[in-house]
Amino acid sequence: MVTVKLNDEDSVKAIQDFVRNTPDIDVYEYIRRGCNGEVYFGKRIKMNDEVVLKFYWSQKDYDATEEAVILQNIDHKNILKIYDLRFVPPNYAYFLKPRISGGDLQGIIDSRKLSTKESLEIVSGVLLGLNELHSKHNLVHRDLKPGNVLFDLEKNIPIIADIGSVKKIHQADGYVTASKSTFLYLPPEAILANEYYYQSDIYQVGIIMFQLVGGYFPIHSPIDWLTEREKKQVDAIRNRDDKCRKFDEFIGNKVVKGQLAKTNSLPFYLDATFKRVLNKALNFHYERRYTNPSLFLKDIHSLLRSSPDYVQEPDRLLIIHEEGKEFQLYENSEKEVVLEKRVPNKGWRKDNSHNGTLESPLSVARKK
Amino acid sequence: MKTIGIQIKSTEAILVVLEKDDEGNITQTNESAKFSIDDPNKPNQVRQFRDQINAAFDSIGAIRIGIVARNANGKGDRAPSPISFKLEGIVQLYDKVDIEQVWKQTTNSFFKKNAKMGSAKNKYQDDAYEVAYYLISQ
Repeated sequence: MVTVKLNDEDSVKAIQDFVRNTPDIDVYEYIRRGCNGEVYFGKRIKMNDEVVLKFYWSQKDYDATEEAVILQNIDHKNILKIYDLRFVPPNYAYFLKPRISGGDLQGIIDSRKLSTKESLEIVSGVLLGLNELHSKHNLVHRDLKPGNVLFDLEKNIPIIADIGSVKKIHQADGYVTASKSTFLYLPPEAILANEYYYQSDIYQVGIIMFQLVGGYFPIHSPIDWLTEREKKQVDAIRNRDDKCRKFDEFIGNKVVKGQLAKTNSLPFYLDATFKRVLNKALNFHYERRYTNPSLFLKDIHSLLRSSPDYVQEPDRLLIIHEEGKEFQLYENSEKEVVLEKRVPNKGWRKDNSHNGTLESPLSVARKK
Repeated sequence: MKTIGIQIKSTEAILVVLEKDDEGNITQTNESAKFSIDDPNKPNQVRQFRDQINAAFDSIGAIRIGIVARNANGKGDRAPSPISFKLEGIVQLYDKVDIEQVWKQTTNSFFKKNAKMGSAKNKYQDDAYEVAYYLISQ
């Protein structure tokens, strides 16, 4: 039911009619999401909880497909629950889901710099959800990216959402076709051969981790990935479609060459183990990536145990150890590197046991 | 068809995964791994260990999982580490497949009567390999 003016004239008639005929949901807001589908917010009257009504373009009788049946039965803390899934004629799939408090990870990445511990905890949660999709349901997500991972502020956990593009893989070493929805997150095998494996999802989680820990990934200005020469070539094309094709071609080449998520762009303070984990997750050959999410999770937990928490602030780097010991690293007015140490309930004290280079105080601060 | 053999040694659990194909060939898969815990008194590390083990078991999808049984009453040099029993308890909480206790004497007597094809990829995996092999051969 609808009790307020929704201003949803841009939505298609079939969807407008559908939301107005849901007697158990009070629909109060409409958001146009373009190619990502139509989104409405509402409140379930009997349950008194906030929900999201999402409509995607779909094949006929989508709700009867094997994937749709599986999706409705998934119950895992790191996967967004689907309360209802229906086909809306002529060609829309309707998903009813809970509304999550903290928004998506892309919004969080855009608003603040996450600490390494926060980032790794998020990746752990995503991998637990992915493990459920892979091992229990033989599903690949095909569109994992920060924009499709929500963060529940109440439970402090990430939740994999937008599972409309999941596909079932019928053999352990089998593959499905790739989803073309988010080009920048496609793994090399999807670009080269339109093949998508279980390990292709591992690649996408690798990109999420890369973004979370601060690797160079200009998602809002992807033209920045191109060299000046490439930019000129794209600019010289007049036709818009040809322009996009050329741009995608350049980006595709970079994905294949491993130049989109370069581990040498990671923040200076991350040690080699972060690079090793990311290089394995993002390996060009899907067979050389983590075989399954659980092996990736094991290495993420190992990083959580072995590394202190790095918090990058505008004027300093904080390095926090589990037992409460903290270091801060900054440049003074004479451009010298300064390292200070603080133990619980004490003030900052200079630590001069380093040689003034950047690496030396970092190795002091990293020690437990 | 897959089985998992586990040996718990002080603060680590050694997992060996064996797979049997349609022709009866048994191979060790690259899902075999070691799971450890640095400080068993830290709740977050205990939870991480639980998550890793459960996720690994789910991914592997083994039909039988066995663990090398240890004598809880062993004394002196033979006394198992108390931490290992904590890890064993976490492993046993997995509820999709029952975790079987397999005594060393059982595998020894099995391999006296049955030839073992192949061996563990690494020496440290020998005992876990024998448990997985025993389970997959039955």
